[in-house]
Amino acid sequence: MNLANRAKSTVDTASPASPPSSSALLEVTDLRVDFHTRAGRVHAVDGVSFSVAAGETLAVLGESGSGKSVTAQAIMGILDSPPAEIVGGSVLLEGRDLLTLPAAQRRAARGSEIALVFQDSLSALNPVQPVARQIAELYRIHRGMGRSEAWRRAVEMMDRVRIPAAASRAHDYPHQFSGGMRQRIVIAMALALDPKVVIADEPTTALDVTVQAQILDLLAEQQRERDMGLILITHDLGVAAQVATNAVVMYAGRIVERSRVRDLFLDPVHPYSHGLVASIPRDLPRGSALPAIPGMPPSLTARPGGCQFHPRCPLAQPRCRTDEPPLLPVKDGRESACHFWTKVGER
Amino acid sequence: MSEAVLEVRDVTRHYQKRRPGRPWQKDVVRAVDGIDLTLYRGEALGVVGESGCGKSTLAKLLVALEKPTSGEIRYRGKDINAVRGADWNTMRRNIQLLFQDPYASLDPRKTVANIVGEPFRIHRDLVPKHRIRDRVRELLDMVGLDPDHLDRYPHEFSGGQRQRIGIARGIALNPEILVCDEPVSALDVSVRAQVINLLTELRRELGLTIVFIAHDLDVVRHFSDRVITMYLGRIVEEGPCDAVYDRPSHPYTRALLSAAPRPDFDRPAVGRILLEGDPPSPINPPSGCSFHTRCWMARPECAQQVPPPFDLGDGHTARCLFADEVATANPHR
Amino acid sequence: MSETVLATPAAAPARRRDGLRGLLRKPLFVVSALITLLYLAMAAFPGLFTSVDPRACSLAFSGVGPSSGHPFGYDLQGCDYLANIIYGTRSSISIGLLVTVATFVLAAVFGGLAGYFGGLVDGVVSRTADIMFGLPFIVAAIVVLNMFPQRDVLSVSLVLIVLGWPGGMRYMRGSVLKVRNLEYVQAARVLGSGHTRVLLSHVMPNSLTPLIVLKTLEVGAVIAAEAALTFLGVGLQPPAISWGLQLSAAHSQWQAHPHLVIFPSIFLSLAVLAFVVLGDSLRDALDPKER
Repeated sequence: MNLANRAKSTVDTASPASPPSSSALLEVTDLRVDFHTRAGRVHAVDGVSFSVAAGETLAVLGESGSGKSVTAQAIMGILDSPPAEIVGGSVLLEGRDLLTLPAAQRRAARGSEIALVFQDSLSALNPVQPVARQIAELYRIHRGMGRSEAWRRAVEMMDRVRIPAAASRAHDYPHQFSGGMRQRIVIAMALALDPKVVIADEPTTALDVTVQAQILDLLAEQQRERDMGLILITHDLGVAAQVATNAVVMYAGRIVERSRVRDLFLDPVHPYSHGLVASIPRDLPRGSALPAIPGMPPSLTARPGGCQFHPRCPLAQPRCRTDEPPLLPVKDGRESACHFWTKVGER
Repeated sequence: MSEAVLEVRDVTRHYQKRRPGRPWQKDVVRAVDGIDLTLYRGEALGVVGESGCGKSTLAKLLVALEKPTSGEIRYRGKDINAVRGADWNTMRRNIQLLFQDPYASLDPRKTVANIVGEPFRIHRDLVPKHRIRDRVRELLDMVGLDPDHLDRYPHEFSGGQRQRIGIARGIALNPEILVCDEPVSALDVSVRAQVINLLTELRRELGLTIVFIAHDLDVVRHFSDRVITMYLGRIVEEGPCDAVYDRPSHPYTRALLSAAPRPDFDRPAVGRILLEGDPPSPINPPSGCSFHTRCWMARPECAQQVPPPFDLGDGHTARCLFADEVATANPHR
Repeated sequence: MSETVLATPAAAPARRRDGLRGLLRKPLFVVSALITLLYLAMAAFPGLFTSVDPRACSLAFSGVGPSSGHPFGYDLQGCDYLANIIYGTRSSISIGLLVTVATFVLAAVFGGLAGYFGGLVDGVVSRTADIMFGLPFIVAAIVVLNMFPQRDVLSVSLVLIVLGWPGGMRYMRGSVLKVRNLEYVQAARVLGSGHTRVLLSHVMPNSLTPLIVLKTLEVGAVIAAEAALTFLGVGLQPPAISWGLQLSAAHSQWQAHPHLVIFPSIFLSLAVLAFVVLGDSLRDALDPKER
């Protein structure tokens, strides 16, 4: 997290309907994704807007069911539809709307301009092909390179993500690598075509702590070198704090807070983010009760009316049950979707 | 120090594993490779380490789900794998396990009444048959669930609620020891604190002795009195929580603490230790100190001998030849 | 994402029962179930479907084609063909059900024991099954059946059971191996359950579904196998009445009396198809993951 990075990043304070700001590489506006289930249509992503500039790292924080992974899949165009359906919004990559792009162009953009790092490296790689061949395939398809040239570039890429003795390991199969090394290969595949934006969906959740630290360092370093936009999707506040400059917090398909990561931790402006930050056990007497958020996240099919968080919220007033608070600028270029954000954190 | 309830004496657990591609050759996986440990009455012992360090195997050994390859585990002086009859019953009732995955640990075809009441159908002398449902209601109430939900099936509950059902089953027999194997890792972040609080509360009310296995170091520190760090099937550091966290004296513990992602914006980048590579395979662990291949302090003698416990006082020990230097050593060679 | 939807309390009201009720809304299931019921009725009460005695024959009518009052015509012995085909249902359905039920029980018991206990039990059961598997089915059936002086429904069933149980056993063993190490089974052991309790109350109920589906699918295959063996001359023998025997007698007369081949073939194919479709829709309902 260097200062140059932080200065470059912008927090978009414009309301969702405003035209894209010029600095944004990727501009997601009012994205809506529905799921068709047996119980009817549910809103998995319900009007999500954010943008990422070159060199910026944006953390999308949320727990399972918050819609963070669905958002990533919608941006990448890899949603399972049916049951999923994009029912509104736009995803502008340097001004072009990925959602309305013809299929062939969209496929070309995927990988070469915007890439995804998967969580599970074992299922993201083809088990019956040597790893370098899987990377080389990208160069052959997207860049039209010859076999040997593509292979050479693939090995180079493996070297870049610091796989020891890359040249001699190029012929190995995915299962011959450890989890951390495999995740490096997945990252190498995502970075191979020099994309402008990389989305990392829980890239370290399957890894051990010491390996996680290496992978996060690698991602941050590559992001700096290539000046790309990085969207880090995670449920782990610590991971977000370590890598990202800006964050959006998602709850039940909506963004409830948009802040710089540091501000999010030191002075959250939404009761949900406050609850998450407060429940990290730091500087509390041993064995004392942790300040826990009561209840559980709402299911997609049984969403409460008004503010989605009100049944679990310590600040809830009658109004919260009926009026859904919009995401509005509150202070210092930050946004909160809470009627009573000024009271967050008060005792 | 209070009395010892569970003593682990030089326990190993080795598995035979067929070598991939060469099924006629077998490898020995040293999941647990020589552990000595004493659990004292009423304490909460934290266990930290990465996957493959043997902490889950240790959990299964402690509750007698697995038998040690060598060594023995004694509950109140009696080997838990040799006891029979009434002693076996006592052991069985007093050592319980809480599983990590609240989805896999509840039989999908049984109702809550059946799941939480099963212990009483196995140990018939505890609660008369017609009282089982009432007892299940009490247990559900204790873990914060609606007692009227006892005829529901597990899939009708959320992850956090399922874990509460698992806890209710775990405490049904009023055990003395509850081994918790990553009890909150599979839960949503916003409900983890609730479950930790519930365990804290039950521990106090029921006087439980708890073994708390987790990879979230902050949670372990908050919950436990003592902590052990495991690496490749061995305990590398052991001691009171505050001593170990504030003055880690094994290089691995220090690296682990340093690698844990924390919202700690003012942490100086200088003291940060980034280990290289992944933990080695427990099939062919390195010679001598098994951490020497990744250790930034390693010296030639580390590959020669398994370090004996280095006593740092107050029950704080570290199996490192240079334990006294670790806390202050500069990680940047 | 779909996992989240399923796991939520409101969205999953008893998934299993839901699946079974949903079956009634599937036309394929309803049709195949009705056809199956019809066959079962024919096997149990053939008298309800024809008033003609299948064994009242007159050579004068040998091979006569369909006519009013005798819609399927007569066979070579001059017996009413419709009555013969209807009475033939009983052998096919009895063999199909008997073999399926018996192999189901054998597979469940041996597969359950082999999968749960492993080691020596597994070794003995699995190696025996491997040996049976190694035998070429048709050849083995021909050899064994030829040793019987008189072959009836029971002896044919017995041979099909002996040769047929290993498939289901392996299937069962596989699903027990999966269930055996699940955490809820370990939980039962930590609570102090003995093997009997663990096996009967947790392992078996959770590993039987795939076997049930497999066996439903197999009824059709067994019926076809009986017909095939009989056709080859090693299955049922006269005076038994069966579709296989009818086909066997008629196949050389195909050009002169095509009705003798067509009618039993239709009954046989429809029976096999009905059971296969039934098994398929049952699988969809019981195990949505395998769709």
